[in-house]
Amino acid sequence: MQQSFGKFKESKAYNFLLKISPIIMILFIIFIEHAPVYFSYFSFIRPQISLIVVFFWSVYFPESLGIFSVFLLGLLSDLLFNSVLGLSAFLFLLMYVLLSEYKNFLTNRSFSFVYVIFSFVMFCASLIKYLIMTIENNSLPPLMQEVVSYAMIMCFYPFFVYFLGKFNMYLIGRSINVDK
Amino acid sequence: MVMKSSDANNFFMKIKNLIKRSMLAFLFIFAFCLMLIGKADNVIIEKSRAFVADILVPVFKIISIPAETLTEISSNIKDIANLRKENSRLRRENELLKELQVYAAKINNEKSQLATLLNFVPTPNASYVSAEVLADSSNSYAQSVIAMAGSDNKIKKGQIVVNGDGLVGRVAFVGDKTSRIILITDLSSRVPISVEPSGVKGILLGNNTPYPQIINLLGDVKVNVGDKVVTSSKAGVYPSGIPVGVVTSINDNEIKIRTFTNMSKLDMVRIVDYGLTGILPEQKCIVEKD
Repeated sequence: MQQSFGKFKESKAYNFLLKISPIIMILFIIFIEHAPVYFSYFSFIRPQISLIVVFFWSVYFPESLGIFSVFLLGLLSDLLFNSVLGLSAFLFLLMYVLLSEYKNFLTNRSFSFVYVIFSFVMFCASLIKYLIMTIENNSLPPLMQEVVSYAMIMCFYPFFVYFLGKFNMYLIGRSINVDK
Repeated sequence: MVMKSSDANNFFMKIKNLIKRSMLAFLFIFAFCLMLIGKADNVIIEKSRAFVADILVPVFKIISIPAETLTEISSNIKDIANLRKENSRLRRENELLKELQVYAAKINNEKSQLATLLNFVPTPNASYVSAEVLADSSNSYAQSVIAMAGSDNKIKKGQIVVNGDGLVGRVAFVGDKTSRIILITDLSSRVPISVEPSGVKGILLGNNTPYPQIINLLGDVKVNVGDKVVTSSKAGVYPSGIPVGVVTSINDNEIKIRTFTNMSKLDMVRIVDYGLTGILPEQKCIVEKD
Protein backbone atom coordinates (compact mmCIF):
# COMPACT_ATOMS: atom_id res chain seq x y z
CA MET A 1 0.00 0.00 0.00
CA GLN A 2 2.76 2.40 1.03
CA GLN A 3 4.83 1.34 -1.96
CA SER A 4 2.03 1.97 -4.43
CA PHE A 5 1.40 5.39 -2.84
CA GLY A 6 5.13 6.10 -3.13
CA LYS A 7 4.98 5.21 -6.81
CA PHE A 8 1.90 7.41 -7.26
CA LYS A 9 3.76 10.30 -5.62
CA GLU A 10 6.41 10.03 -8.31
CA SER A 11 3.90 9.81 -11.15
CA LYS A 12 2.95 12.55 -13.60
CA ALA A 13 -0.67 12.37 -12.45
CA TYR A 14 0.36 13.34 -8.90
CA ASN A 15 2.42 16.24 -10.20
CA PHE A 16 -0.52 17.36 -12.31
CA LEU A 17 -2.81 17.15 -9.27
CA LEU A 18 -0.37 19.27 -7.30
CA LYS A 19 -0.22 21.79 -10.12
CA ILE A 20 -3.99 22.23 -10.22
CA SER A 21 -4.39 21.90 -6.44
CA PRO A 22 -5.00 25.68 -5.99
CA ILE A 23 -7.94 25.46 -8.41
CA ILE A 24 -9.29 22.40 -6.58
CA MET A 25 -8.87 24.23 -3.28
CA ILE A 26 -10.84 27.27 -4.46
CA LEU A 27 -13.53 24.96 -5.84
CA PHE A 28 -13.69 23.10 -2.55
CA ILE A 29 -13.96 26.34 -0.58
CA ILE A 30 -16.78 27.56 -2.87
CA PHE A 31 -18.70 24.37 -2.05
CA ILE A 32 -17.91 24.66 1.66
CA GLU A 33 -19.31 28.19 1.64
CA HIS A 34 -22.70 26.66 0.85
CA ALA A 35 -22.71 24.11 3.64
CA PRO A 36 -25.53 24.71 6.10
CA VAL A 37 -23.95 25.95 9.34
CA TYR A 38 -27.00 26.17 11.65
CA PHE A 39 -25.54 29.04 13.72
CA SER A 40 -28.11 31.70 14.45
CA TYR A 41 -27.67 34.78 12.25
CA PHE A 42 -24.67 33.26 10.44
CA SER A 43 -26.56 33.15 7.15
CA PHE A 44 -26.89 36.95 7.31
CA ILE A 45 -23.15 37.58 7.65
CA ARG A 46 -21.64 34.61 5.77
CA PRO A 47 -18.23 35.78 4.50
CA GLN A 48 -16.96 34.92 1.02
CA ILE A 49 -14.00 32.81 2.14
CA SER A 50 -13.05 31.92 -1.44
CA LEU A 51 -11.71 35.47 -1.80
CA ILE A 52 -8.98 34.62 0.74
CA VAL A 53 -7.88 31.57 -1.24
CA VAL A 54 -7.96 33.43 -4.56
CA PHE A 55 -5.88 36.21 -2.97
CA PHE A 56 -3.32 33.76 -1.59
CA TRP A 57 -2.77 31.77 -4.79
CA SER A 58 -2.80 34.93 -6.94
CA VAL A 59 0.12 36.21 -4.90
CA TYR A 60 2.11 33.02 -4.25
CA PHE A 61 1.39 30.69 -7.17
CA PRO A 62 -0.50 32.58 -9.92
CA GLU A 63 0.85 30.24 -12.62
CA SER A 64 -1.42 27.50 -11.30
CA LEU A 65 -4.61 29.48 -11.79
CA GLY A 66 -4.91 31.25 -15.15
CA ILE A 67 -7.51 33.81 -16.15
CA PHE A 68 -10.06 31.35 -17.52
CA SER A 69 -10.11 29.09 -14.47
CA VAL A 70 -10.37 32.11 -12.15
CA PHE A 71 -13.24 33.48 -14.22
CA LEU A 72 -15.07 30.14 -14.29
CA LEU A 73 -14.63 29.66 -10.53
CA GLY A 74 -16.14 33.11 -9.97
CA LEU A 75 -18.99 32.27 -12.29
CA LEU A 76 -19.68 29.05 -10.39
CA SER A 77 -19.71 30.98 -7.12
CA ASP A 78 -22.24 33.41 -8.62
CA LEU A 79 -24.43 30.60 -9.87
CA LEU A 80 -24.49 28.93 -6.49
CA PHE A 81 -25.04 32.06 -4.42
CA ASN A 82 -28.16 33.82 -5.55
CA SER A 83 -26.17 36.98 -6.26
CA VAL A 84 -25.58 38.98 -9.43
CA LEU A 85 -24.18 36.66 -12.10
CA GLY A 86 -20.73 37.86 -13.15
CA LEU A 87 -19.96 39.77 -9.94
CA SER A 88 -17.68 37.18 -8.29
CA ALA A 89 -16.22 36.32 -11.70
CA PHE A 90 -15.33 40.00 -12.11
CA LEU A 91 -13.90 40.27 -8.59
CA PHE A 92 -11.87 37.05 -8.81
CA LEU A 93 -10.46 38.09 -12.18
CA LEU A 94 -9.64 41.63 -11.04
CA MET A 95 -7.88 40.31 -7.93
CA TYR A 96 -5.97 37.73 -9.90
CA VAL A 97 -4.79 40.15 -12.58
CA LEU A 98 -3.71 42.89 -10.17
CA LEU A 99 -2.08 40.61 -7.60
CA SER A 100 -0.23 38.40 -10.07
CA GLU A 101 1.07 41.60 -11.70
CA TYR A 102 2.54 42.68 -8.33
CA LYS A 103 3.66 39.18 -7.37
CA ASN A 104 7.34 40.12 -7.12
CA PHE A 105 6.48 43.08 -4.92
CA LEU A 106 4.36 40.99 -2.53
CA THR A 107 6.25 37.72 -2.16
CA ASN A 108 9.05 37.52 0.43
CA ARG A 109 7.40 40.34 2.38
CA SER A 110 6.45 40.10 6.04
CA PHE A 111 3.07 38.69 7.04
CA SER A 112 1.94 42.05 8.45
CA PHE A 113 2.75 43.83 5.19
CA VAL A 114 0.75 41.34 3.10
CA TYR A 115 -2.04 41.45 5.70
CA VAL A 116 -2.36 45.21 5.22
CA ILE A 117 -2.47 44.76 1.44
CA PHE A 118 -5.05 41.97 1.92
CA SER A 119 -7.23 44.21 4.10
CA PHE A 120 -7.12 46.91 1.42
CA VAL A 121 -7.94 44.45 -1.38
CA MET A 122 -10.84 42.98 0.62
CA PHE A 123 -12.10 46.47 1.42
CA CYS A 124 -12.14 47.32 -2.30
CA ALA A 125 -13.83 43.98 -3.13
CA SER A 126 -16.51 44.59 -0.47
CA LEU A 127 -17.04 48.13 -1.74
CA ILE A 128 -17.46 46.96 -5.35
CA LYS A 129 -19.87 44.23 -4.23
CA TYR A 130 -21.84 46.70 -2.12
CA LEU A 131 -22.11 49.22 -4.96
CA ILE A 132 -23.15 46.63 -7.56
CA MET A 133 -25.72 45.09 -5.19
CA THR A 134 -27.09 48.58 -4.47
CA ILE A 135 -27.55 49.17 -8.21
CA GLU A 136 -29.03 45.67 -8.66
CA ASN A 137 -31.58 46.03 -5.85
CA ASN A 138 -32.23 49.77 -6.24
CA SER A 139 -31.81 50.03 -2.48
CA LEU A 140 -28.99 50.02 0.04
CA PRO A 141 -28.20 46.55 1.43
CA PRO A 142 -27.58 46.45 5.21
CA LEU A 143 -24.11 47.96 5.69
CA MET A 144 -23.49 46.56 9.17
CA GLN A 145 -23.70 42.96 7.96
CA GLU A 146 -21.16 43.63 5.23
CA VAL A 147 -18.85 45.19 7.83
CA VAL A 148 -19.18 42.10 10.05
CA SER A 149 -18.60 39.86 7.04
CA TYR A 150 -15.46 41.86 6.19
CA ALA A 151 -14.24 41.59 9.79
CA MET A 152 -14.77 37.82 9.68
CA ILE A 153 -12.71 37.53 6.50
CA MET A 154 -9.94 39.52 8.20
CA CYS A 155 -10.06 37.15 11.19
CA PHE A 156 -10.03 34.01 9.04
CA TYR A 157 -7.11 35.16 6.89
CA PRO A 158 -4.25 34.22 9.30
CA PHE A 159 -5.64 30.67 9.76
CA PHE A 160 -5.97 30.14 6.03
CA VAL A 161 -2.54 31.60 5.36
CA TYR A 162 -1.00 29.25 7.92
CA PHE A 163 -2.32 26.10 6.20
CA LEU A 164 -2.06 27.39 2.64
CA GLY A 165 1.48 28.58 3.36
CA LYS A 166 2.45 25.10 4.59
CA PHE A 167 1.01 23.59 1.43
CA ASN A 168 2.73 26.18 -0.72
CA MET A 169 6.07 25.29 0.92
CA TYR A 170 5.39 21.66 0.08
CA LEU A 171 4.68 22.63 -3.52
CA ILE A 172 7.90 24.65 -3.70
CA GLY A 173 9.90 21.76 -2.20
CA ARG A 174 8.24 19.37 -4.60
CA SER A 175 9.04 21.51 -7.65
CA ILE A 176 12.71 21.70 -6.50
CA ASN A 177 12.83 17.89 -6.31
CA VAL A 178 11.20 17.58 -9.70
CA ASP A 179 13.68 20.05 -11.20
CA LYS A 180 16.58 18.04 -9.78
CA MET B 1 20.71 35.08 -37.75
CA VAL B 2 20.76 35.30 -33.98
CA MET B 3 19.26 38.77 -34.14
CA LYS B 4 16.52 37.50 -36.42
CA SER B 5 15.70 34.69 -34.04
CA SER B 6 15.43 37.05 -31.06
CA ASP B 7 13.31 39.42 -33.13
CA ALA B 8 10.98 36.54 -33.94
CA ASN B 9 10.87 35.61 -30.28
CA ASN B 10 10.05 39.18 -29.34
CA PHE B 11 7.37 39.29 -32.01
CA PHE B 12 5.77 36.07 -30.74
CA MET B 13 5.98 37.33 -27.15
CA LYS B 14 4.24 40.54 -28.20
CA ILE B 15 1.54 38.55 -30.02
CA LYS B 16 1.13 36.29 -26.98
CA ASN B 17 0.81 39.29 -24.66
CA LEU B 18 -1.65 40.93 -27.01
CA ILE B 19 -3.81 37.79 -27.12
CA LYS B 20 -3.64 37.49 -23.32
CA ARG B 21 -4.66 41.12 -22.86
CA SER B 22 -7.47 40.78 -25.41
CA MET B 23 -8.76 37.67 -23.64
CA LEU B 24 -8.61 39.51 -20.34
CA ALA B 25 -10.53 42.47 -21.76
CA PHE B 26 -13.05 40.04 -23.27
CA LEU B 27 -13.59 38.29 -19.92
CA PHE B 28 -14.09 41.60 -18.10
CA ILE B 29 -16.59 42.73 -20.73
CA PHE B 30 -18.27 39.32 -20.59
CA ALA B 31 -18.61 39.60 -16.78
CA PHE B 32 -20.28 43.01 -17.21
CA CYS B 33 -22.55 41.62 -19.94
CA LEU B 34 -23.59 38.81 -17.60
CA MET B 35 -24.50 41.36 -14.94
CA LEU B 36 -26.63 43.21 -17.49
CA ILE B 37 -28.22 40.01 -18.82
CA GLY B 38 -29.10 39.03 -15.24
CA LYS B 39 -30.90 42.35 -14.85
CA ALA B 40 -32.75 42.09 -18.17
CA ASP B 41 -33.51 38.39 -18.66
CA ASN B 42 -33.73 36.27 -15.58
CA VAL B 43 -34.96 33.10 -17.30
CA ILE B 44 -31.60 32.03 -18.77
CA ILE B 45 -29.87 32.76 -15.47
CA GLU B 46 -32.50 30.84 -13.51
CA LYS B 47 -32.15 27.84 -15.80
CA SER B 48 -28.35 27.93 -15.47
CA ARG B 49 -28.58 28.14 -11.67
CA ALA B 50 -31.05 25.24 -11.55
CA PHE B 51 -28.85 23.19 -13.90
CA VAL B 52 -25.72 23.76 -11.77
CA ALA B 53 -27.59 23.00 -8.54
CA ASP B 54 -28.94 19.75 -10.05
CA ILE B 55 -25.47 18.63 -11.09
CA LEU B 56 -23.98 19.43 -7.69
CA VAL B 57 -26.50 17.49 -5.59
CA PRO B 58 -23.96 14.78 -4.57
CA VAL B 59 -21.40 17.45 -3.61
CA PHE B 60 -23.94 19.33 -1.50
CA LYS B 61 -24.95 16.09 0.20
CA ILE B 62 -21.35 15.41 1.19
CA ILE B 63 -20.61 18.93 2.42
CA SER B 64 -23.75 19.03 4.55
CA ILE B 65 -22.74 15.87 6.46
CA PRO B 66 -20.33 17.52 8.98
CA ALA B 67 -22.78 20.30 9.83
CA GLU B 68 -25.66 17.84 10.20
CA THR B 69 -23.58 15.54 12.40
CA LEU B 70 -22.52 18.41 14.67
CA THR B 71 -26.10 19.64 14.95
CA GLU B 72 -27.32 16.13 15.72
CA ILE B 73 -24.70 15.67 18.45
CA SER B 74 -25.48 19.01 20.08
CA SER B 75 -29.24 18.43 19.90
CA ASN B 76 -28.79 14.93 21.39
CA ILE B 77 -26.85 16.39 24.32
CA LYS B 78 -29.54 19.03 24.81
CA ASP B 79 -32.29 16.40 24.59
CA ILE B 80 -30.70 14.18 27.21
CA ALA B 81 -30.22 17.15 29.54
CA ASN B 82 -33.84 18.23 29.18
CA LEU B 83 -35.42 14.77 29.15
CA ARG B 84 -37.32 15.03 32.44
CA LYS B 85 -38.55 18.56 31.78
CA GLU B 86 -39.52 17.67 28.24
CA ASN B 87 -41.44 14.62 29.41
CA SER B 88 -43.60 16.56 31.83
CA ARG B 89 -44.15 19.31 29.26
CA LEU B 90 -45.28 16.73 26.69
CA ARG B 91 -47.67 15.15 29.20
CA ARG B 92 -49.29 18.55 29.82
CA GLU B 93 -49.36 19.27 26.09
CA ASN B 94 -50.92 15.88 25.39
CA GLU B 95 -53.74 16.54 27.82
CA LEU B 96 -54.34 19.94 26.26
CA LEU B 97 -54.31 18.47 22.75
CA LYS B 98 -56.86 15.84 23.74
CA GLU B 99 -59.19 18.61 24.91
CA LEU B 100 -58.53 20.59 21.73
CA GLN B 101 -59.18 17.54 19.58
CA VAL B 102 -62.69 17.21 20.96
CA TYR B 103 -63.23 20.95 20.48
CA ALA B 104 -61.86 20.83 16.90
CA ALA B 105 -64.11 17.92 15.97
CA LYS B 106 -67.08 19.86 17.28
CA ILE B 107 -66.11 22.99 15.29
CA ASN B 108 -65.45 20.96 12.16
CA ASN B 109 -68.88 19.44 12.42
CA GLU B 110 -70.45 22.88 12.83
CA LYS B 111 -68.42 24.22 9.90
CA SER B 112 -69.54 21.50 7.51
CA GLN B 113 -73.16 22.01 8.58
CA LEU B 114 -72.89 25.77 7.94
CA ALA B 115 -71.09 25.20 4.62
CA THR B 116 -73.96 22.97 3.47
CA LEU B 117 -76.45 25.62 4.50
CA LEU B 118 -74.58 28.36 2.58
CA ASN B 119 -73.70 26.27 -0.53
CA PHE B 120 -70.06 27.14 0.22
CA VAL B 121 -67.46 26.01 -2.34
CA PRO B 122 -64.54 24.66 -0.29
CA THR B 123 -60.92 25.54 -1.14
CA PRO B 124 -58.98 22.59 -2.57
CA ASN B 125 -56.83 20.65 -0.14
CA ALA B 126 -53.17 21.59 -0.19
CA SER B 127 -50.63 19.01 -1.25
CA TYR B 128 -47.08 19.15 0.00
CA VAL B 129 -43.60 17.72 -0.40
CA SER B 130 -41.14 17.61 2.50
CA ALA B 131 -37.58 18.32 1.42
CA GLU B 132 -34.15 18.45 2.98
CA VAL B 133 -32.21 21.72 2.78
CA LEU B 134 -29.10 20.82 0.81
CA ALA B 135 -27.23 24.09 0.65
CA ASP B 136 -27.50 27.48 2.23
CA SER B 137 -26.71 30.25 -0.25
CA SER B 138 -27.53 33.07 2.11
CA ASN B 139 -25.17 35.93 2.76
CA SER B 140 -25.47 39.64 3.49
CA TYR B 141 -26.81 40.33 -0.02
CA ALA B 142 -29.22 37.48 -0.74
CA GLN B 143 -31.20 35.02 1.32
CA SER B 144 -31.93 31.70 -0.31
CA VAL B 145 -31.51 27.98 0.24
CA ILE B 146 -31.47 24.99 -2.09
CA ALA B 147 -33.92 22.20 -1.25
CA MET B 148 -33.67 18.59 -2.37
CA ALA B 149 -36.91 18.51 -4.36
CA GLY B 150 -37.52 19.64 -7.90
CA SER B 151 -39.77 19.24 -10.89
CA ASP B 152 -39.36 15.45 -10.55
CA ASN B 153 -41.32 15.85 -7.29
CA LYS B 154 -43.90 18.13 -8.99
CA ILE B 155 -42.49 21.26 -7.40
CA LYS B 156 -43.45 24.41 -9.27
CA LYS B 157 -42.19 27.95 -9.20
CA GLY B 158 -44.10 30.11 -6.74
CA GLN B 159 -45.13 27.37 -4.33
CA ILE B 160 -45.05 28.30 -0.68
CA VAL B 161 -42.43 26.94 1.70
CA VAL B 162 -43.10 26.46 5.40
CA ASN B 163 -41.61 24.53 8.28
CA GLY B 164 -42.82 23.62 11.76
CA ASP B 165 -42.42 27.21 12.97
CA GLY B 166 -44.05 29.13 10.15
CA LEU B 167 -43.47 30.69 6.75
CA VAL B 168 -40.04 30.21 5.21
CA GLY B 169 -40.35 31.64 1.72
CA ARG B 170 -41.29 30.79 -1.82
CA VAL B 171 -39.87 28.62 -4.58
CA ALA B 172 -37.97 30.93 -6.92
CA PHE B 173 -36.85 28.44 -9.52
CA VAL B 174 -36.97 24.74 -10.03
CA GLY B 175 -34.51 22.23 -11.43
CA ASP B 176 -35.14 18.54 -11.98
CA LYS B 177 -33.90 17.47 -8.56
CA THR B 178 -33.52 20.74 -6.65
CA SER B 179 -35.32 24.00 -6.14
CA ARG B 180 -34.12 27.33 -4.88
CA ILE B 181 -36.19 28.92 -2.14
CA ILE B 182 -36.11 32.66 -1.69
CA LEU B 183 -36.51 33.33 2.03
CA ILE B 184 -38.90 35.96 3.38
CA THR B 185 -35.86 37.82 4.75
CA ASP B 186 -34.45 38.31 1.23
CA LEU B 187 -34.29 41.86 -0.07
CA SER B 188 -36.57 40.98 -3.00
CA SER B 189 -39.22 39.28 -0.87
CA ARG B 190 -42.68 40.86 -0.49
CA VAL B 191 -45.34 39.03 1.51
CA PRO B 192 -48.91 40.27 2.02
CA ILE B 193 -49.51 40.02 5.75
CA SER B 194 -52.10 40.66 8.37
CA VAL B 195 -51.26 41.86 11.88
CA GLU B 196 -53.26 40.07 14.56
CA PRO B 197 -55.43 40.76 16.55
CA SER B 198 -56.32 44.01 14.74
CA GLY B 199 -56.39 42.29 11.34
CA VAL B 200 -54.72 45.26 9.65
CA LYS B 201 -53.22 44.37 6.27
CA GLY B 202 -49.77 45.30 5.04
CA ILE B 203 -46.71 44.10 3.17
CA LEU B 204 -43.75 42.39 4.76
CA LEU B 205 -40.58 43.62 3.14
CA GLY B 206 -37.42 41.51 3.34
CA ASN B 207 -34.27 43.49 4.07
CA ASN B 208 -31.55 40.79 4.35
CA THR B 209 -31.65 41.06 8.12
CA PRO B 210 -33.32 38.73 10.63
CA TYR B 211 -35.88 41.52 11.18
CA PRO B 212 -38.01 42.17 8.07
CA GLN B 213 -40.04 45.34 7.93
CA ILE B 214 -43.77 45.94 7.58
CA ILE B 215 -44.78 48.62 5.08
CA ASN B 216 -47.98 49.91 3.48
CA LEU B 217 -50.21 49.22 6.46
CA LEU B 218 -53.80 49.78 5.41
CA GLY B 219 -55.95 51.84 7.73
CA ASP B 220 -55.17 53.78 10.84
CA VAL B 221 -54.92 50.91 13.28
CA LYS B 222 -52.38 50.83 16.08
CA VAL B 223 -49.85 48.02 15.95
CA ASN B 224 -48.18 46.96 19.17
CA VAL B 225 -44.97 45.17 20.02
CA GLY B 226 -45.81 41.50 20.50
CA ASP B 227 -48.58 41.43 17.87
CA LYS B 228 -48.58 38.30 15.79
CA VAL B 229 -48.07 38.55 12.03
CA VAL B 230 -49.66 36.01 9.66
CA THR B 231 -49.97 35.81 5.88
CA SER B 232 -52.88 37.43 4.13
CA SER B 233 -54.62 35.99 1.08
CA LYS B 234 -54.62 39.41 -0.65
CA ALA B 235 -53.28 39.13 -4.23
CA GLY B 236 -53.88 35.39 -4.15
CA VAL B 237 -50.25 34.50 -3.70
CA TYR B 238 -50.37 33.18 -0.12
CA PRO B 239 -53.21 31.54 1.77
CA SER B 240 -54.26 33.42 4.87
CA GLY B 241 -53.15 32.52 8.36
CA ILE B 242 -49.65 31.06 7.96
CA PRO B 243 -47.64 32.27 10.99
CA VAL B 244 -44.86 34.64 9.93
CA GLY B 245 -43.49 36.35 13.04
CA VAL B 246 -44.03 38.72 15.89
CA VAL B 247 -43.67 42.52 16.00
CA THR B 248 -40.48 43.37 17.89
CA SER B 249 -39.96 47.09 17.39
CA ILE B 250 -41.87 50.17 16.26
CA ASN B 251 -39.76 53.27 15.60
CA ASP B 252 -41.01 56.27 13.61
CA ASN B 253 -43.45 54.25 11.49
CA GLU B 254 -40.79 51.58 10.96
CA ILE B 255 -42.29 48.32 12.16
CA LYS B 256 -39.95 45.37 12.36
CA ILE B 257 -40.76 41.77 13.12
CA ARG B 258 -38.81 38.70 14.18
CA THR B 259 -39.67 35.69 12.05
CA PHE B 260 -40.88 32.56 13.83
CA THR B 261 -38.60 30.52 11.60
CA ASN B 262 -34.90 30.71 12.31
CA MET B 263 -33.58 31.14 8.77
CA SER B 264 -30.06 30.13 9.80
CA LYS B 265 -31.23 26.76 11.08
CA LEU B 266 -33.28 25.38 8.22
CA ASP B 267 -32.78 21.67 7.79
CA MET B 268 -36.16 20.41 6.56
CA VAL B 269 -38.86 22.38 4.79
CA ARG B 270 -42.30 21.64 3.48
CA ILE B 271 -43.12 22.88 -0.03
CA VAL B 272 -46.86 23.35 -0.23
CA ASP B 273 -49.07 23.63 -3.29
CA TYR B 274 -52.18 25.54 -2.26
CA GLY B 275 -53.35 25.69 -5.87
CA LEU B 276 -53.30 29.47 -5.68
CA THR B 277 -53.18 31.65 -8.77
CA GLY B 278 -51.97 35.18 -8.04
CA ILE B 279 -49.00 36.94 -9.59
CA LEU B 280 -46.68 34.07 -10.35
CA PRO B 281 -48.59 32.06 -13.02
CA GLU B 282 -48.43 35.10 -15.33
CA GLN B 283 -44.62 35.03 -15.07
CA LYS B 284 -44.75 31.33 -15.76
CA CYS B 285 -46.69 32.01 -18.97
CA ILE B 286 -43.89 34.32 -20.12
CA VAL B 287 -41.37 31.59 -19.39
CA GLU B 288 -43.35 29.07 -21.38
CA LYS B 289 -43.71 31.42 -24.34
CA ASP B 290 -39.93 31.84 -24.39
